[in-house]
Amino acid sequence: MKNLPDIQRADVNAILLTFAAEISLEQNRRVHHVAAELRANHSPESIRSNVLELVPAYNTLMIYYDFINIDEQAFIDALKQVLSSLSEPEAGAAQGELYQVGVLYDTSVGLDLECVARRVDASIDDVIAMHTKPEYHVYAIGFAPGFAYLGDVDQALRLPRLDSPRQKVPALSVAIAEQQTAIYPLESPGGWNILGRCAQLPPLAAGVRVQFYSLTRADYEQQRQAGDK
Amino acid sequence: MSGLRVIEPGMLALVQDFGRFGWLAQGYSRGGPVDEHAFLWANRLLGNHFNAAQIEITLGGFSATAQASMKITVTGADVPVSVNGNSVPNWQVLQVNEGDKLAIGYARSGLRAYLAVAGGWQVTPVKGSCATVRREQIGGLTGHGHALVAGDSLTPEAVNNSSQAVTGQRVKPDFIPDYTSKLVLDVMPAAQFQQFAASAREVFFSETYQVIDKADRMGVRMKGAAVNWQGAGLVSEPLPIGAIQVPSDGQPIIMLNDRQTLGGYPKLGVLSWTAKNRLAQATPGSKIQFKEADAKPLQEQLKQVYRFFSVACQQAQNLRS
Repeated sequence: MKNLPDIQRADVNAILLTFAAEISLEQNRRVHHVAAELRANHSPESIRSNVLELVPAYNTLMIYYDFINIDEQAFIDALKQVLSSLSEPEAGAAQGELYQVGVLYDTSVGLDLECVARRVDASIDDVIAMHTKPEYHVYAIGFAPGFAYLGDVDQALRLPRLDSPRQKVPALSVAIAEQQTAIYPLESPGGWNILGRCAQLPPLAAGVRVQFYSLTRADYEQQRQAGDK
Repeated sequence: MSGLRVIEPGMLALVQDFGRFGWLAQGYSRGGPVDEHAFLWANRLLGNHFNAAQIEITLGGFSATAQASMKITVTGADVPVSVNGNSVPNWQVLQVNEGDKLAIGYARSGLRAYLAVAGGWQVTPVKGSCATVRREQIGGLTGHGHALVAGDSLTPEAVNNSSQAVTGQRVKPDFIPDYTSKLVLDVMPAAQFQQFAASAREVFFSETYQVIDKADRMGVRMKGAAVNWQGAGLVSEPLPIGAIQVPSDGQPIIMLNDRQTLGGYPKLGVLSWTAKNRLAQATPGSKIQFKEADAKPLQEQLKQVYRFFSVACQQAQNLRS
Protein backbone atom coordinates (compact mmCIF):
# COMPACT_ATOMS: atom_id res chain seq x y z
CA MET A 1 0.00 0.00 0.00
CA LYS A 2 1.28 3.42 -0.87
CA ASN A 3 -0.48 5.31 1.86
CA LEU A 4 0.07 3.17 4.90
CA PRO A 5 -2.58 3.48 7.58
CA ASP A 6 -1.61 5.09 10.84
CA ILE A 7 -0.41 2.40 13.27
CA GLN A 8 -1.07 2.99 16.97
CA ARG A 9 -1.12 1.00 20.17
CA ALA A 10 -4.74 0.65 21.31
CA ASP A 11 -4.07 -1.53 24.35
CA VAL A 12 -1.27 -3.69 25.77
CA ASN A 13 -2.34 -6.44 23.36
CA ALA A 14 -3.93 -4.48 20.52
CA ILE A 15 -2.90 -2.30 17.60
CA LEU A 16 -5.30 0.02 15.78
CA LEU A 17 -4.84 0.80 12.11
CA THR A 18 -6.52 4.06 11.05
CA PHE A 19 -7.10 4.75 7.39
CA ALA A 20 -8.28 8.18 6.18
CA ALA A 21 -10.68 9.69 8.73
CA GLU A 22 -13.90 9.52 6.74
CA ILE A 23 -16.83 7.25 6.07
CA SER A 24 -16.28 6.08 2.54
CA LEU A 25 -16.57 2.86 0.63
CA GLU A 26 -13.02 3.26 -0.60
CA GLN A 27 -11.47 3.45 2.88
CA ASN A 28 -13.70 0.67 4.13
CA ARG A 29 -12.55 -1.53 1.23
CA ARG A 30 -8.96 -0.93 2.31
CA VAL A 31 -9.88 -1.97 5.87
CA HIS A 32 -11.35 -5.27 4.71
CA HIS A 33 -8.57 -5.79 2.19
CA VAL A 34 -5.98 -5.60 4.97
CA ALA A 35 -8.11 -7.77 7.27
CA ALA A 36 -8.34 -10.44 4.56
CA GLU A 37 -4.58 -10.32 4.05
CA LEU A 38 -3.93 -10.75 7.78
CA ARG A 39 -6.27 -13.74 7.84
CA ALA A 40 -4.64 -15.35 4.83
CA ASN A 41 -2.58 -18.47 5.26
CA HIS A 42 0.22 -17.02 3.14
CA SER A 43 0.93 -14.23 5.62
CA PRO A 44 4.33 -14.43 7.36
CA GLU A 45 4.63 -16.74 10.34
CA SER A 46 5.00 -13.85 12.83
CA ILE A 47 1.63 -12.55 11.66
CA ARG A 48 -0.12 -15.86 11.09
CA SER A 49 0.56 -17.25 14.53
CA ASN A 50 0.22 -14.03 16.52
CA VAL A 51 -2.89 -12.34 15.15
CA LEU A 52 -5.64 -13.41 17.54
CA GLU A 53 -8.66 -11.42 16.47
CA LEU A 54 -9.54 -8.67 13.99
CA VAL A 55 -12.21 -6.00 14.42
CA PRO A 56 -12.93 -4.02 11.27
CA ALA A 57 -14.91 -0.78 11.52
CA TYR A 58 -15.56 2.03 9.00
CA ASN A 59 -12.01 3.29 8.56
CA THR A 60 -10.20 1.43 11.30
CA LEU A 61 -9.01 -2.11 11.98
CA MET A 62 -8.24 -3.34 15.46
CA ILE A 63 -5.74 -6.18 15.67
CA TYR A 64 -5.50 -8.17 18.89
CA TYR A 65 -2.23 -10.10 18.97
CA ASP A 66 -0.49 -12.57 21.25
CA PHE A 67 1.52 -10.10 23.30
CA ILE A 68 2.87 -12.93 25.45
CA ASN A 69 4.49 -14.53 22.43
CA ILE A 70 5.69 -11.54 20.42
CA ASP A 71 7.12 -8.20 21.39
CA GLU A 72 5.04 -5.20 20.33
CA GLN A 73 7.75 -3.65 18.17
CA ALA A 74 8.47 -6.94 16.41
CA PHE A 75 4.79 -7.35 15.69
CA ILE A 76 4.46 -3.80 14.36
CA ASP A 77 7.52 -4.31 12.15
CA ALA A 78 6.03 -7.49 10.69
CA LEU A 79 2.74 -5.69 10.20
CA LYS A 80 4.42 -2.82 8.35
CA GLN A 81 6.10 -5.29 6.02
CA VAL A 82 2.82 -6.95 5.18
CA LEU A 83 1.16 -3.57 4.59
CA SER A 84 3.90 -2.14 2.40
CA SER A 85 4.02 -5.20 0.17
CA LEU A 86 0.23 -5.30 -0.15
CA SER A 87 -1.42 -3.88 -3.24
CA GLU A 88 -4.35 -1.49 -2.98
CA PRO A 89 -7.76 -3.13 -3.39
CA GLU A 90 -8.98 -2.87 -6.95
CA ALA A 91 -11.59 -0.19 -7.35
CA GLY A 92 -14.96 -1.79 -7.90
CA ALA A 93 -13.47 -5.21 -7.22
CA ALA A 94 -15.88 -8.05 -6.52
CA GLN A 95 -17.39 -7.62 -3.08
CA GLY A 96 -18.77 -10.08 -0.60
CA GLU A 97 -21.90 -12.10 -1.01
CA LEU A 98 -25.12 -10.27 -1.90
CA TYR A 99 -28.18 -10.95 0.30
CA GLN A 100 -31.66 -10.10 -0.91
CA VAL A 101 -33.67 -9.21 2.16
CA GLY A 102 -37.46 -8.95 2.03
CA VAL A 103 -39.04 -6.19 4.12
CA LEU A 104 -42.66 -5.56 5.04
CA TYR A 105 -42.86 -1.79 4.56
CA ASP A 106 -46.11 -1.11 6.34
CA THR A 107 -47.14 1.41 8.97
CA SER A 108 -48.09 -1.45 11.33
CA VAL A 109 -44.40 -2.37 11.69
CA GLY A 110 -42.71 0.61 10.05
CA LEU A 111 -43.34 2.82 13.03
CA ASP A 112 -41.78 5.90 11.43
CA LEU A 113 -42.72 5.19 7.82
CA GLU A 114 -45.39 7.89 7.58
CA CYS A 115 -43.31 10.40 9.43
CA VAL A 116 -40.26 9.71 7.25
CA ALA A 117 -42.33 10.13 4.10
CA ARG A 118 -43.62 13.47 5.41
CA ARG A 119 -40.18 14.68 6.39
CA VAL A 120 -38.56 13.88 3.06
CA ASP A 121 -41.65 15.19 1.27
CA ALA A 122 -42.40 12.00 -0.62
CA SER A 123 -45.05 9.29 -0.71
CA ILE A 124 -44.62 6.04 1.21
CA ASP A 125 -44.13 4.29 -2.13
CA ASP A 126 -41.34 6.72 -2.96
CA VAL A 127 -39.68 6.00 0.37
CA ILE A 128 -39.86 2.26 -0.34
CA ALA A 129 -38.43 2.82 -3.81
CA MET A 130 -35.57 4.90 -2.43
CA HIS A 131 -34.78 2.37 0.29
CA THR A 132 -34.88 -0.70 -1.97
CA LYS A 133 -32.87 0.83 -4.80
CA PRO A 134 -29.24 0.81 -3.55
CA GLU A 135 -27.05 -2.19 -3.06
CA TYR A 136 -25.86 -1.58 0.48
CA HIS A 137 -22.44 -2.41 1.78
CA VAL A 138 -21.81 -3.69 5.33
CA TYR A 139 -19.24 -1.25 6.66
CA ALA A 140 -19.00 -2.77 10.11
CA ILE A 141 -20.73 -4.94 12.67
CA GLY A 142 -21.01 -3.54 16.15
CA PHE A 143 -23.16 -1.98 18.87
CA ALA A 144 -24.87 -5.36 19.33
CA PRO A 145 -24.39 -8.89 17.99
CA GLY A 146 -25.16 -8.98 14.29
CA PHE A 147 -26.00 -5.26 14.10
CA ALA A 148 -24.69 -4.30 10.66
CA TYR A 149 -24.00 -0.70 9.68
CA LEU A 150 -25.18 -0.60 6.06
CA GLY A 151 -24.65 2.25 3.64
CA ASP A 152 -25.11 4.40 1.78
CA VAL A 153 -28.68 5.54 2.00
CA ASP A 154 -29.99 7.63 -0.91
CA GLN A 155 -29.20 11.33 -0.37
CA ALA A 156 -32.90 12.22 -0.53
CA LEU A 157 -33.74 9.75 2.26
CA ARG A 158 -31.15 10.86 4.82
CA LEU A 159 -32.63 11.90 8.15
CA PRO A 160 -31.14 12.40 11.59
CA ARG A 161 -31.84 10.03 14.47
CA LEU A 162 -35.02 10.49 16.51
CA ASP A 163 -34.80 13.28 19.09
CA SER A 164 -35.33 10.78 21.81
CA PRO A 165 -34.52 7.09 21.29
CA ARG A 166 -37.21 4.44 21.73
CA GLN A 167 -36.86 2.25 24.80
CA LYS A 168 -37.68 -0.81 22.74
CA VAL A 169 -37.23 -1.26 19.04
CA PRO A 170 -38.77 -4.60 17.99
CA ALA A 171 -36.37 -7.25 16.71
CA LEU A 172 -35.93 -7.33 12.90
CA SER A 173 -36.97 -3.70 12.49
CA VAL A 174 -35.39 -2.11 9.43
CA ALA A 175 -34.35 1.47 10.09
CA ILE A 176 -32.40 4.45 8.74
CA ALA A 177 -30.24 7.19 10.26
CA GLU A 178 -28.21 9.67 8.19
CA GLN A 179 -26.36 7.72 5.50
CA GLN A 180 -26.84 4.41 7.28
CA THR A 181 -29.48 1.73 7.39
CA ALA A 182 -29.66 -1.40 9.57
CA ILE A 183 -31.71 -4.31 10.80
CA TYR A 184 -32.08 -4.53 14.58
CA PRO A 185 -31.14 -8.16 15.33
CA LEU A 186 -32.66 -8.19 18.84
CA GLU A 187 -35.19 -6.06 20.63
CA SER A 188 -33.17 -3.17 21.98
CA PRO A 189 -33.28 0.55 22.63
CA GLY A 190 -32.66 2.58 19.48
CA GLY A 191 -33.03 5.97 17.90
CA TRP A 192 -33.17 5.19 14.19
CA ASN A 193 -36.22 5.79 11.97
CA ILE A 194 -38.08 2.51 11.48
CA LEU A 195 -39.35 1.84 7.97
CA GLY A 196 -40.47 -1.78 8.23
CA ARG A 197 -39.61 -5.24 9.39
CA CYS A 198 -37.91 -8.18 7.77
CA ALA A 199 -38.87 -11.79 8.42
CA GLN A 200 -35.42 -13.23 8.92
CA LEU A 201 -32.00 -11.94 9.79
CA PRO A 202 -29.44 -12.70 7.07
CA PRO A 203 -25.99 -13.77 8.30
CA LEU A 204 -24.38 -10.37 7.82
CA ALA A 205 -20.66 -9.84 8.11
CA ALA A 206 -18.54 -6.84 7.30
CA GLY A 207 -17.91 -6.63 3.57
CA VAL A 208 -21.05 -8.42 2.38
CA ARG A 209 -23.80 -6.60 0.48
CA VAL A 210 -27.52 -6.28 1.04
CA GLN A 211 -30.38 -5.28 -1.17
CA PHE A 212 -33.84 -4.86 0.30
CA TYR A 213 -37.05 -5.67 -1.55
CA SER A 214 -40.65 -5.02 -0.61
CA LEU A 215 -42.75 -7.94 0.67
CA THR A 216 -46.51 -8.31 0.65
CA ARG A 217 -47.95 -9.20 4.03
CA ALA A 218 -48.68 -12.72 2.83
CA ASP A 219 -45.08 -13.22 1.69
CA TYR A 220 -43.82 -11.71 4.92
CA GLU A 221 -45.92 -14.14 7.00
CA GLN A 222 -44.78 -17.03 4.85
CA GLN A 223 -41.10 -16.13 5.22
CA ARG A 224 -41.56 -15.68 8.93
CA GLN A 225 -43.11 -19.11 9.32
CA ALA A 226 -40.41 -20.65 7.16
CA GLY A 227 -37.84 -19.01 9.42
CA ASP A 228 -39.39 -20.51 12.55
CA LYS A 229 -38.99 -24.04 11.25
CA MET B 1 -28.57 -33.87 41.69
CA SER B 2 -24.94 -33.45 42.45
CA GLY B 3 -24.18 -29.77 42.55
CA LEU B 4 -25.15 -26.52 44.12
CA ARG B 5 -28.76 -25.39 44.27
CA VAL B 6 -29.31 -21.65 44.41
CA ILE B 7 -31.61 -20.52 47.23
CA GLU B 8 -31.16 -16.77 46.72
CA PRO B 9 -29.12 -15.32 43.85
CA GLY B 10 -28.79 -11.88 45.51
CA MET B 11 -28.78 -8.78 43.37
CA LEU B 12 -26.89 -10.30 40.46
CA ALA B 13 -25.18 -13.68 40.10
CA LEU B 14 -23.74 -14.51 36.69
CA VAL B 15 -21.90 -17.50 35.31
CA GLN B 16 -18.58 -16.30 33.85
CA ASP B 17 -15.64 -18.07 32.32
CA PHE B 18 -12.61 -16.06 31.12
CA GLY B 19 -14.69 -14.64 28.29
CA ARG B 20 -15.96 -15.11 24.77
CA PHE B 21 -13.06 -14.43 22.43
CA GLY B 22 -13.14 -14.26 18.66
CA TRP B 23 -16.58 -12.69 18.12
CA LEU B 24 -15.96 -8.96 18.32
CA ALA B 25 -16.26 -8.62 14.54
CA GLN B 26 -19.78 -10.06 14.85
CA GLY B 27 -20.66 -7.56 17.56
CA TYR B 28 -20.30 -9.83 20.61
CA SER B 29 -18.45 -8.39 23.55
CA ARG B 30 -16.05 -10.49 25.58
CA GLY B 31 -17.98 -10.76 28.84
CA GLY B 32 -16.01 -12.69 31.46
CA PRO B 33 -14.85 -11.59 34.91
CA VAL B 34 -14.61 -7.84 35.36
CA ASP B 35 -12.09 -8.51 38.14
CA GLU B 36 -9.69 -10.93 36.44
CA HIS B 37 -7.34 -10.87 39.40
CA ALA B 38 -9.87 -12.36 41.84
CA PHE B 39 -11.17 -14.77 39.19
CA LEU B 40 -7.75 -16.13 38.25
CA TRP B 41 -6.76 -16.59 41.88
CA ALA B 42 -9.89 -18.63 42.54
CA ASN B 43 -9.13 -20.98 39.66
CA ARG B 44 -5.50 -21.25 40.64
CA LEU B 45 -6.32 -22.08 44.26
CA LEU B 46 -8.55 -24.91 43.10
CA GLY B 47 -6.10 -26.25 40.53
CA ASN B 48 -8.52 -25.36 37.74
CA HIS B 49 -7.85 -24.37 34.17
CA PHE B 50 -7.72 -20.54 33.98
CA ASN B 51 -10.92 -20.55 31.91
CA ALA B 52 -13.01 -22.69 34.33
CA ALA B 53 -16.47 -21.19 34.89
CA GLN B 54 -17.28 -19.43 38.17
CA ILE B 55 -20.17 -17.43 39.58
CA GLU B 56 -19.66 -13.66 39.72
CA ILE B 57 -21.73 -12.31 42.60
CA THR B 58 -22.36 -8.57 42.67
CA LEU B 59 -22.81 -7.04 46.13
CA GLY B 60 -23.69 -10.35 47.82
CA GLY B 61 -26.86 -11.79 49.30
CA PHE B 62 -26.28 -15.17 47.67
CA SER B 63 -27.12 -18.48 49.30
CA ALA B 64 -27.18 -22.07 48.08
CA THR B 65 -27.38 -25.67 49.24
CA ALA B 66 -24.67 -28.20 48.42
CA GLN B 67 -26.11 -31.41 47.00
CA ALA B 68 -22.77 -33.20 47.05
CA SER B 69 -19.39 -32.71 48.63
CA MET B 70 -17.09 -30.38 46.77
CA LYS B 71 -14.21 -27.98 47.18
CA ILE B 72 -14.97 -24.33 46.66
CA THR B 73 -13.48 -20.90 47.24
CA VAL B 74 -14.75 -17.33 47.39
CA THR B 75 -12.44 -14.52 46.24
CA GLY B 76 -12.90 -10.88 45.30
CA ALA B 77 -15.00 -8.48 47.35
CA ASP B 78 -14.75 -8.79 51.11
CA VAL B 79 -18.02 -10.65 51.68
CA PRO B 80 -18.90 -12.58 54.83
CA VAL B 81 -19.01 -16.29 53.91
CA SER B 82 -20.59 -18.94 56.08
CA VAL B 83 -21.25 -22.65 55.89
CA ASN B 84 -24.23 -23.75 58.01
CA GLY B 85 -24.02 -20.43 59.82
CA ASN B 86 -20.34 -20.79 60.73
CA SER B 87 -18.08 -18.09 59.38
CA VAL B 88 -15.38 -19.36 57.00
CA PRO B 89 -12.47 -17.54 55.34
CA ASN B 90 -12.38 -16.02 51.84
CA TRP B 91 -9.50 -16.60 49.39
CA GLN B 92 -9.13 -20.13 50.77
CA VAL B 93 -10.11 -23.63 49.63
CA LEU B 94 -13.17 -24.81 51.58
CA GLN B 95 -14.73 -28.24 51.78
CA VAL B 96 -18.52 -28.33 51.70
CA ASN B 97 -20.58 -31.48 52.07
CA GLU B 98 -23.96 -32.67 50.94
CA GLY B 99 -26.70 -30.71 52.68
CA ASP B 100 -24.46 -27.82 53.72
CA LYS B 101 -25.87 -24.34 53.34
CA LEU B 102 -23.48 -21.80 51.89
CA ALA B 103 -24.27 -18.13 52.47
CA ILE B 104 -22.49 -15.11 51.07
CA GLY B 105 -23.51 -11.88 52.77
CA TYR B 106 -23.21 -8.30 51.56
CA ALA B 107 -19.78 -6.93 50.74
CA ARG B 108 -18.00 -4.97 53.48
CA SER B 109 -15.67 -3.65 50.79
CA GLY B 110 -15.39 -4.27 47.10
CA LEU B 111 -18.31 -5.03 44.81
CA ARG B 112 -17.93 -8.44 43.19
CA ALA B 113 -17.13 -11.83 44.67
CA TYR B 114 -16.24 -14.97 42.73
CA LEU B 115 -17.56 -18.38 43.79
CA ALA B 116 -15.50 -21.13 42.21
CA VAL B 117 -15.59 -24.91 42.51
CA ALA B 118 -12.85 -27.47 41.89
CA GLY B 119 -13.19 -28.43 38.23
CA GLY B 120 -15.29 -25.37 37.42
CA TRP B 121 -19.06 -25.19 36.96
CA GLN B 122 -20.37 -27.33 34.14
CA VAL B 123 -22.13 -25.03 31.70
CA THR B 124 -22.67 -25.56 27.98
CA PRO B 125 -20.72 -22.97 26.05
CA VAL B 126 -22.30 -20.79 23.36
CA LYS B 127 -19.90 -19.46 20.74
CA GLY B 128 -17.05 -21.04 22.63
CA SER B 129 -17.83 -19.60 26.06
CA CYS B 130 -20.35 -19.69 28.87
CA ALA B 131 -19.71 -16.05 29.82
CA THR B 132 -23.05 -14.36 30.53
CA VAL B 133 -23.71 -11.11 28.66
CA ARG B 134 -27.30 -10.19 29.48
CA ARG B 135 -27.58 -7.39 26.94
CA GLU B 136 -26.58 -9.81 24.17
CA GLN B 137 -28.81 -12.61 25.47
CA ILE B 138 -25.95 -15.06 25.40
CA GLY B 139 -24.19 -17.40 27.83
CA GLY B 140 -25.00 -18.55 31.35
CA LEU B 141 -26.91 -21.66 32.41
CA THR B 142 -29.63 -21.29 29.79
CA GLY B 143 -27.32 -20.07 27.03
CA HIS B 144 -29.54 -17.01 26.63
CA GLY B 145 -27.78 -14.59 28.93
CA HIS B 146 -29.89 -15.02 32.05
CA ALA B 147 -28.62 -14.27 35.53
CA LEU B 148 -28.95 -17.12 38.04
CA VAL B 149 -32.33 -17.43 39.74
CA ALA B 150 -33.54 -19.27 42.83
CA GLY B 151 -33.82 -22.98 42.09
CA ASP B 152 -31.02 -23.08 39.50
CA SER B 153 -28.64 -26.01 39.95
CA LEU B 154 -25.01 -25.95 38.96
CA THR B 155 -22.88 -29.07 38.72
CA PRO B 156 -19.10 -29.11 39.02
CA GLU B 157 -17.10 -30.68 36.22
CA ALA B 158 -15.70 -34.05 37.24
CA VAL B 159 -12.34 -33.80 39.00
CA ASN B 160 -10.06 -36.72 39.65
CA ASN B 161 -8.85 -37.53 43.13
CA SER B 162 -5.40 -36.21 42.46
CA SER B 163 -6.89 -32.74 42.00
CA GLN B 164 -4.51 -30.12 43.27
CA ALA B 165 -7.11 -28.42 45.44
CA VAL B 166 -6.14 -28.81 49.09
CA THR B 167 -8.66 -27.75 51.70
CA GLY B 168 -7.28 -24.87 53.72
CA GLN B 169 -4.89 -23.72 51.02
CA ARG B 170 -5.12 -19.96 50.77
CA VAL B 171 -3.86 -16.91 48.93
CA LYS B 172 -1.10 -15.09 50.81
CA PRO B 173 -2.52 -11.92 52.40
CA ASP B 174 0.02 -9.83 50.43
CA PHE B 175 -1.80 -10.71 47.23
CA ILE B 176 -5.27 -9.87 48.50
CA PRO B 177 -6.17 -6.28 47.60
CA ASP B 178 -7.47 -3.91 50.22
CA TYR B 179 -10.55 -2.68 48.41
CA THR B 180 -10.90 0.23 50.83
CA SER B 181 -7.56 1.74 49.88
CA LYS B 182 -7.40 4.92 47.83
CA LEU B 183 -7.72 4.29 44.13
CA VAL B 184 -4.95 5.64 41.93
CA LEU B 185 -5.48 4.05 38.56
CA ASP B 186 -2.75 3.68 35.94
CA VAL B 187 -3.74 4.92 32.51
CA MET B 188 -1.87 4.04 29.37
CA PRO B 189 -2.29 6.91 26.89
CA ALA B 190 -3.78 5.73 23.58
CA ALA B 191 -6.30 6.62 20.90
CA GLN B 192 -7.09 10.37 20.88
CA PHE B 193 -4.87 11.17 23.89
CA GLN B 194 -2.59 13.51 21.94
CA GLN B 195 -5.56 15.28 20.38
CA PHE B 196 -6.89 16.40 23.76
CA ALA B 197 -5.60 19.83 24.75
CA ALA B 198 -2.74 19.71 27.25
CA SER B 199 -4.98 21.58 29.68
CA ALA B 200 -7.68 18.91 29.37
CA ARG B 201 -5.17 16.13 30.06
CA GLU B 202 -3.89 18.05 33.03
CA VAL B 203 -7.40 18.30 34.45
CA PHE B 204 -7.88 14.57 34.02
CA PHE B 205 -4.65 13.63 35.79
CA SER B 206 -4.82 16.18 38.58
CA GLU B 207 -8.47 16.14 39.63
CA THR B 208 -10.23 13.56 41.77
CA TYR B 209 -13.21 11.75 40.24
CA GLN B 210 -16.02 9.89 41.85
CA VAL B 211 -17.71 6.69 40.68
CA ILE B 212 -21.45 7.34 40.27
CA ASP B 213 -24.20 4.78 40.47
CA LYS B 214 -24.52 4.47 36.71
CA ALA B 215 -22.07 1.59 36.77
CA ASP B 216 -22.53 -1.91 35.46
CA ARG B 217 -20.57 -4.57 33.60
CA MET B 218 -20.69 -2.42 30.46
CA GLY B 219 -19.07 0.65 31.91
CA VAL B 220 -18.48 2.87 34.91
CA ARG B 221 -19.39 6.54 34.85
CA MET B 222 -17.42 9.17 36.71
CA LYS B 223 -18.24 12.60 38.01
CA GLY B 224 -15.70 15.36 38.44
CA ALA B 225 -13.97 18.17 36.63
CA ALA B 226 -14.98 18.10 32.96
CA VAL B 227 -12.36 16.99 30.46
CA ASN B 228 -12.92 19.12 27.39
CA TRP B 229 -12.67 17.76 23.89
CA GLN B 230 -12.37 20.41 21.22
CA GLY B 231 -11.76 18.11 18.30
CA ALA B 232 -14.25 17.10 15.67
CA GLY B 233 -16.72 14.26 16.00
CA LEU B 234 -15.20 10.84 15.44
CA VAL B 235 -16.18 7.96 13.23
CA SER B 236 -17.02 4.98 15.48
CA GLU B 237 -14.03 2.73 15.99
CA PRO B 238 -13.26 -0.50 17.89
CA LEU B 239 -13.40 0.02 21.61
CA PRO B 240 -11.01 -1.83 23.94
CA ILE B 241 -12.00 -2.94 27.44
CA GLY B 242 -10.69 -0.41 29.95
CA ALA B 243 -10.99 2.45 27.46
CA ILE B 244 -11.66 5.87 29.00
CA GLN B 245 -14.28 7.56 26.85
CA VAL B 246 -15.10 11.23 27.14
CA PRO B 247 -18.61 12.15 26.00
CA SER B 248 -19.59 15.74 25.30
CA ASP B 249 -20.30 16.55 28.95
CA GLY B 250 -16.64 15.80 29.74
CA GLN B 251 -17.45 13.20 32.42
CA PRO B 252 -15.35 10.08 31.74
CA ILE B 253 -16.91 6.66 31.20
CA ILE B 254 -14.63 3.65 31.59
CA MET B 255 -15.59 0.59 29.62
CA LEU B 256 -15.71 -2.85 31.23
CA ASN B 257 -16.10 -6.37 29.81
CA ASP B 258 -19.63 -6.05 28.40
CA ARG B 259 -18.86 -2.85 26.47
CA GLN B 260 -20.25 -2.39 22.98
CA THR B 261 -17.66 -3.38 20.39
CA LEU B 262 -17.55 -0.01 18.60
CA GLY B 263 -17.68 3.45 20.09
CA GLY B 264 -17.62 7.01 18.80
CA TYR B 265 -16.52 9.12 21.77
CA PRO B 266 -12.93 10.37 22.02
CA LYS B 267 -10.71 8.31 24.32
CA LEU B 268 -7.84 9.31 26.58
CA GLY B 269 -6.39 5.83 26.81
CA VAL B 270 -6.95 2.54 28.57
CA LEU B 271 -6.61 1.42 32.17
CA SER B 272 -3.87 -1.01 33.12
CA TRP B 273 -4.90 -4.57 34.00
CA THR B 274 -4.54 -3.90 37.72
CA ALA B 275 -6.43 -0.62 37.46
CA LYS B 276 -9.33 -2.21 35.60
CA ASN B 277 -9.61 -4.96 38.21
CA ARG B 278 -9.65 -2.41 40.99
CA LEU B 279 -12.24 -0.26 39.24
CA ALA B 280 -14.44 -3.36 38.90
CA GLN B 281 -14.49 -3.49 42.71
CA ALA B 282 -15.21 0.22 43.22
CA THR B 283 -18.60 1.05 44.69
CA PRO B 284 -20.50 4.23 43.82
CA GLY B 285 -18.98 7.15 45.69
CA SER B 286 -15.43 5.76 45.49
CA LYS B 287 -12.87 8.48 44.82
CA ILE B 288 -10.47 7.95 41.97
CA GLN B 289 -7.32 9.57 40.70
CA PHE B 290 -5.65 8.76 37.43
CA LYS B 291 -1.95 8.44 36.80
CA GLU B 292 -0.23 8.37 33.42
CA ALA B 293 1.77 5.18 32.93
CA ASP B 294 4.20 3.86 30.31
CA ALA B 295 3.05 1.01 28.13
CA LYS B 296 6.20 -1.11 28.26
CA PRO B 297 6.24 -1.89 31.99
CA LEU B 298 2.49 -2.56 31.90
CA GLN B 299 2.97 -4.99 29.02
CA GLU B 300 5.75 -6.79 30.89
CA GLN B 301 3.72 -6.90 34.07
CA LEU B 302 0.70 -8.43 32.36
CA LYS B 303 2.90 -10.97 30.56
CA GLN B 304 4.17 -12.10 33.95
CA VAL B 305 0.69 -12.19 35.44
CA TYR B 306 -0.67 -14.30 32.58
CA ARG B 307 2.31 -16.65 32.76
CA PHE B 308 1.82 -17.03 36.52
CA PHE B 309 -1.85 -17.91 36.07
CA SER B 310 -1.18 -20.03 32.94
CA VAL B 311 -3.44 -17.84 30.84
CA ALA B 312 -3.03 -18.68 27.17
CA CYS B 313 -4.09 -16.24 24.46
CA GLN B 314 -6.26 -18.00 21.95
CA GLN B 315 -6.59 -17.31 18.28
CA ALA B 316 -10.19 -16.77 17.20
CA GLN B 317 -11.40 -20.08 15.82
CA ASN B 318 -13.20 -18.33 13.00
CA LEU B 319 -10.21 -16.18 12.02
CA ARG B 320 -9.50 -18.19 8.89
CA SER B 321 -12.96 -19.53 8.14
